[in-house]
Amino acid sequence: MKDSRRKFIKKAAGSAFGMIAAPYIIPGTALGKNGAVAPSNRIVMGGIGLGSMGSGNTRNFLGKEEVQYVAICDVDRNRRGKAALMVNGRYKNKDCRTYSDYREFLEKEKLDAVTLALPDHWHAIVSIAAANKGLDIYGEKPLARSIREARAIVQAVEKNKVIWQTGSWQRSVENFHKGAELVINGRIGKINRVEVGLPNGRKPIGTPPVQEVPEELDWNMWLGPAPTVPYRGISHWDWRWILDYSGGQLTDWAGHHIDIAHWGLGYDRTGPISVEGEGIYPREGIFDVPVEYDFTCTYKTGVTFRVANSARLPHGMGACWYGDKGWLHVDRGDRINASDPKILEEVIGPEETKLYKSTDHWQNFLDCIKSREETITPAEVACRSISVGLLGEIAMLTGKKLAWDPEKEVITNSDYANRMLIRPYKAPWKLDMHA
Amino acid sequence: MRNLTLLLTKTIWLIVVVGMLGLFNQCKEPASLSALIISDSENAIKEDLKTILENSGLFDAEISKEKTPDFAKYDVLVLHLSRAAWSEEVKSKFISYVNGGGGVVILGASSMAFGEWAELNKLVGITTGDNLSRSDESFEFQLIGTKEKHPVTEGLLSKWMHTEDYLIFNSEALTGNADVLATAWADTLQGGNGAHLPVLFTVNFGEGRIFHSTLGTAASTEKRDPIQCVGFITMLQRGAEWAATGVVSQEAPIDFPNSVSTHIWGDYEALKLDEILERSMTYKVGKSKKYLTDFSLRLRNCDGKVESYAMYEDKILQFLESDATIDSKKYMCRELSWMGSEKSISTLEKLINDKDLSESASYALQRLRM
Repeated sequence: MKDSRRKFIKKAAGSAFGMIAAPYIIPGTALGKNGAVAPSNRIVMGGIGLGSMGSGNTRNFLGKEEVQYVAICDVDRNRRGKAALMVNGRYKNKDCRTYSDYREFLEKEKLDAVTLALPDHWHAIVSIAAANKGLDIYGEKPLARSIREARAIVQAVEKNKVIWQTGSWQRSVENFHKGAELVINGRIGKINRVEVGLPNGRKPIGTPPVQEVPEELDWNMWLGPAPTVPYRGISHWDWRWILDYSGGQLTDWAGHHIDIAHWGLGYDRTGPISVEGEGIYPREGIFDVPVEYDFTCTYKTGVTFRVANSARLPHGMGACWYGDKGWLHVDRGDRINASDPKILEEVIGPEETKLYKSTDHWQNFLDCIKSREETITPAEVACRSISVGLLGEIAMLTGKKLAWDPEKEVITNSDYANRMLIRPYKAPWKLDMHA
Repeated sequence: MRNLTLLLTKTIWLIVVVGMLGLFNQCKEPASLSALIISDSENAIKEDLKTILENSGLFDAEISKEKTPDFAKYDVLVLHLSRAAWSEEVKSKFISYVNGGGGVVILGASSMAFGEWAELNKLVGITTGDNLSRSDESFEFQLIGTKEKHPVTEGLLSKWMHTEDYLIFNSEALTGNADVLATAWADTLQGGNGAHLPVLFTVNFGEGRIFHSTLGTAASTEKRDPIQCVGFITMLQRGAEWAATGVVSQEAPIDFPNSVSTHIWGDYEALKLDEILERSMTYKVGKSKKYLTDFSLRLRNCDGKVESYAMYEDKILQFLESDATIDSKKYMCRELSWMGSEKSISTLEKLINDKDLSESASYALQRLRM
């Protein structure tokens, strides 16, 4: 599969890969005079979901000469307006087209690639629709709200042979790369456990009263496959604290520090065999994600991952690997520390394992669009990172120790817990499974 | 030979059964510890404290009516006082009771009740005595465990919210023999000094054990929630057992308050499952959902056996057919979605035609048909 993808050369629409959108660039001939890229040779992009993450990603891509942003889509008119202003400001024109419905956006626009930054409950539907259109995708983490959805996205990406980059940008930052590479090359010895510290939970706020839906917001479309509820002023950003849309800080950050912890162990394409733990849930109010969480995963190698809100861990936020020769901890803010500072001065020799190197996460996506190589965080890797967070969620919600088969992706000791591998959709929405 | 083996087997079985009966009897034994409540609060509050102690199943509690009680008769004394005019004789009996290995629980601001009594200050673990003060208002505050292993707090959540109560200030001036189990933040907004103050602590004095909880001072007959708090109740029950025996045999309640949510037992004991369900029936989004989340806690903490889930499933199916509110039924459909069985399908299929519950029924059916 991997080889065939590597050998794969993107073809124009109407070829054997009819589903795949025509590339608006030809690798190798993309650069015009003086390094400028002629508009006709640029990677044509659009964005769905233009909140904080979506705007940030758009801004990053607008800064790339080889990109031409042409359209954006959001269920909030104000956000559409702001995003269009940003795009038009960049190109000094008024050409950015705006949409409120992603289906119309995907139908009408002829794009090479798309950025997705929606609430988690929307990830699978839109990602699969975009992949089926043959678009290369820069998708925000976590990959999906449920394990079955995450797998469906991976299958759609692979079937359509599109390039996927997950917004797990820490992989493109030096300290994380260096830490993971030292660990995978045995510089702290044989690893026996890892601690992953993620943010402490959000405090509950009670239940705000029902309010009139703001004129600019398409509330029904915002809810999409999630259960119908009246508008209570909770939508943008704060969806993170409601289980129907997100698993809270745990799933929001699984695609960062769990992802890095996996990387240093070479566990990018596998998962734990057992998961157990405890979550502290608010008893009152509209926010129902755990305010504290603490669970332990065991891998078939015997290595354990303890994933918890940072207040519960000695190193706080970040990933900390413990080996028989010491420990190594990485976190944001370029932090990298080890039990012995000399470990950090170690050089990785030419014969040793070299981890994928990227210094610009967004550029890595663009480079892979051209080369058709895998990105630094392909869908499969993102699926495995979020699966750890989601299995922890299931273990905490059921209060039971789970046995997990990372090959078949089923919980083998509880039919009850297995049902939580999906989050049901409200009609008429359906998950498009490729399996 | 075979008969002999059979006889031996039978004898062994008999011994096992008799032994088990013995154990069973031990569990069923009536309260074996005696407690004396010494309090000058309202009668109803004294009665409540008695109920709390007796609900542990470990204590026979008595409310002191005498001026000079015979302390030595009791395994533990529970002090809940605002002002104590003890004679020198009573004071000296009290000190020798503790010195001789007696157990004491000191609640609220009882340590202020004795004024400048140096010996007692040492006993209660606070050097300030009369200087103790409290917050102007009662408010909810978080207890933060400071000791990983102590019989009184082991197995309980280390951070938990206490119901609206006064916070006792100046308690940081502890004597050297005090061991702090939990603190609370004395916010300057509440008149505090912006520091973590000891709220739960123990003191060893002579042979005796003292457990001190500064909680519960705001309790009155009109406002009982400071002592209905599951944290207050649990700490009193466990603290009293520890003071009396040095160990704690009581299990941690599964609905113990957590770091963001308070929890009360209106009748000083956990609700039964049917009571929880009955009280859940009136739930509407925006009102308290504590009974529903209580139900979820039970589910999460059940033994995970098929028959246990089947019992909960039956309860939910009855609930769905009752005249409970739409919102409470929607909540129950969510739970049913993962722990129900084939048995739920016909009920849910009927609900598909119910305009208010159709979506929730479909939610549950999607998972049950996986």
